[in-house]
Amino acid sequence: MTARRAGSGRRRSSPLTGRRRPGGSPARRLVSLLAALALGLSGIFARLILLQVRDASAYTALARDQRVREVNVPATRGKILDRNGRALALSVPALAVYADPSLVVDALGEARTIAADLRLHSNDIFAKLTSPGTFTYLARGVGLETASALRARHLPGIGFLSESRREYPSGDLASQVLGVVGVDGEGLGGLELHYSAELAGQAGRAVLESDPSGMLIPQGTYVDTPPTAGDDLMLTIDTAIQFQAQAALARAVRQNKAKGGTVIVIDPATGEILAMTSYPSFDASDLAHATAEQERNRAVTDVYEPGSVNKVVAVAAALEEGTLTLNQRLRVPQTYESYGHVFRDVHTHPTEQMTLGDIVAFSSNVGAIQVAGGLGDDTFYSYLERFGLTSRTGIDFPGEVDGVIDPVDQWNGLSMATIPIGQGIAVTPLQMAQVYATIANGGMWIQPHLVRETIGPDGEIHPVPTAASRRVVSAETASAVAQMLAYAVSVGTGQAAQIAEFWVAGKTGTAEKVRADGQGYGDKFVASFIGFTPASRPALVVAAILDEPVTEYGGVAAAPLFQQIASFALTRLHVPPAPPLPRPPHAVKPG
Amino acid sequence: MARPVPKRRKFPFYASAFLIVGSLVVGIVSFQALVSQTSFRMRELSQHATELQQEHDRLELDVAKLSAPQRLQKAARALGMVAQKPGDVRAISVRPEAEKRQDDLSQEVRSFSIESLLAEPHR
Repeated sequence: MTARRAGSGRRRSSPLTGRRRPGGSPARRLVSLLAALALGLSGIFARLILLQVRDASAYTALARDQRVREVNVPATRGKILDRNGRALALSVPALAVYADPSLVVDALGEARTIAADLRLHSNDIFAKLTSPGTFTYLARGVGLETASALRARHLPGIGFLSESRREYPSGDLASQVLGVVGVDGEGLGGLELHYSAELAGQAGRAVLESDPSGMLIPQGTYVDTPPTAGDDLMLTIDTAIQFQAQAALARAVRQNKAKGGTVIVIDPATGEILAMTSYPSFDASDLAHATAEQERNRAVTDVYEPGSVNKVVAVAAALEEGTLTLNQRLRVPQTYESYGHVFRDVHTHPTEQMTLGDIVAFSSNVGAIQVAGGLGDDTFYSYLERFGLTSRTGIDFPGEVDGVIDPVDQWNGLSMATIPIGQGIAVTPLQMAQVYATIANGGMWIQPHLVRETIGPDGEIHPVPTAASRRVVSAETASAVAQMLAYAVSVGTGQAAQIAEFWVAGKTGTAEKVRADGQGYGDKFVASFIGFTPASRPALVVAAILDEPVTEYGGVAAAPLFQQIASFALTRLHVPPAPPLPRPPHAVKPG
Repeated sequence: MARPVPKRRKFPFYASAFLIVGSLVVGIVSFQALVSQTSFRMRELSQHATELQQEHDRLELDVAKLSAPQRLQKAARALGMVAQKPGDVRAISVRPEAEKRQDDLSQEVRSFSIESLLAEPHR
């Protein structure tokens, strides 16, 4: 038999055609197919394990990242209020406008449109729209209405981010005290910096789920931690007194053709600052045009030689130490020579008998030097310390500087001649004002402060810690010094500061300024008047200081400034008139 | 001879199963719809609250700007008002006679309100 048996051959032939089928028998083909499928499934299974087991967490995170966004929810910065609750600084919602230059289609056209809407320079915008990268800010703190108009244009590559903008509705009012914040809302100066932690609050964190088109998934949206708004600050500043102080200071600077000036108003019983300003000042809403000189709160950050207003320290020390009494008379010549330097009284007089009251009232340099000489270096220095002239006041304001007073062991022979009359030392206006606040407060020094309390977002009021205080001189000494200061205003150098029915106690100062090259004194002066009123029941202390007025003398340039501010403040605070203080013993005939 | 097994009526079973499953499906769908609706409503209210807060902030800023001393001074000047000068405001002392009269009046009131009531408790 030559024919092969069906099914026994290597390749079977079709029973109908007799041809062999390719692939062999069905069973074998099925097995092959099964094997191929098993292999394929094994690959898929292996891949499945890789995806679902080994890389599961990575892909889960990837998927989560695609639909879930975590964003910081900025906290609303706290407001700054004056002592009566009037807003001096507050934050309002705003938008930041940004661009993704890679998505911008018509840079020139968009730049023109954006510049017109936001009132910016189109060249600057164009430069940003054509810059490399995928993100650049075009403008920060844009108002919602302005931003809405721009948003409605649907410009390609232009986006918006929510933020807040700090507003100072009263412009330059107390701007040096309030300070400024940066574009990201961080405090950069003044109280905005000092109380940054309290004002800033705590940012929250929101988790948002969105679909591929960017729409939020309603049930997938939730907030992890809501933001906590910052505390509000209630200041000790009185808006009306502050405004009047600024206006009066600006007027006085113009009238006296001065370089600048500083005014401080203090409640001596509490240490609360009712007003604090320097000229020139700046508009906090227009920071771009502010200079560093305008931004400085010179009442705290700058020092000056105080001049005759410092005589009160030697006089108070002499009374407290008992080296002199009110009735005691000193023989005061016109001039005093020390180490080749001649010190003289401004007003011409023969050698005459003077009491402490006369020395203060007529601002005798020679008399003050004699009074300090009777105390000795160490004792006099200890009173400079006790009155706070050798250390910072500790006011709640950043950048306060120390006074410049050498330690007593570094004093030279001239020190006991210059320092009693306020030359050869430098103090801040606030330090000097505190000397008079101490006298006005019966000899108690109270730490000055600018914040009365903080108010939490829940409305809870947190008073600031009680101001530090210390006794400097006895109440009797303070009362006697107050009489001398009142006498100085009644008959002496400070008559232009007098306020009828209230009576003022204070002292003029006309200090020579050191020349710019540091080589001795030139022909420039700092004129000042520091005092309190009513003299017998002090309600406020005012320090009025003018830098380089052409009128030179404190009694001419600064005393009227004191009078204007103090008069308004007395009315504003509803202070009733008070009887005058009795005159201290005196030997010089007034006039 | 085995008894014939009674033929069970399956219709009620299917009907009740259908009802239960159907009710569950309708309930779940309705619940989901309600949740979605509430979620949308919440978002709307949240958006509204945000808008109201923004409006409040804007109005607060307006009030602060309008009550700024600089603006008040301008407005006052426009109305012909002038700033106070030192000495313009005078304090008026209370006369001793008036103080005495006030003390007498206070005493009369006190005597009526306390002593007269104590003296005649049953009136």
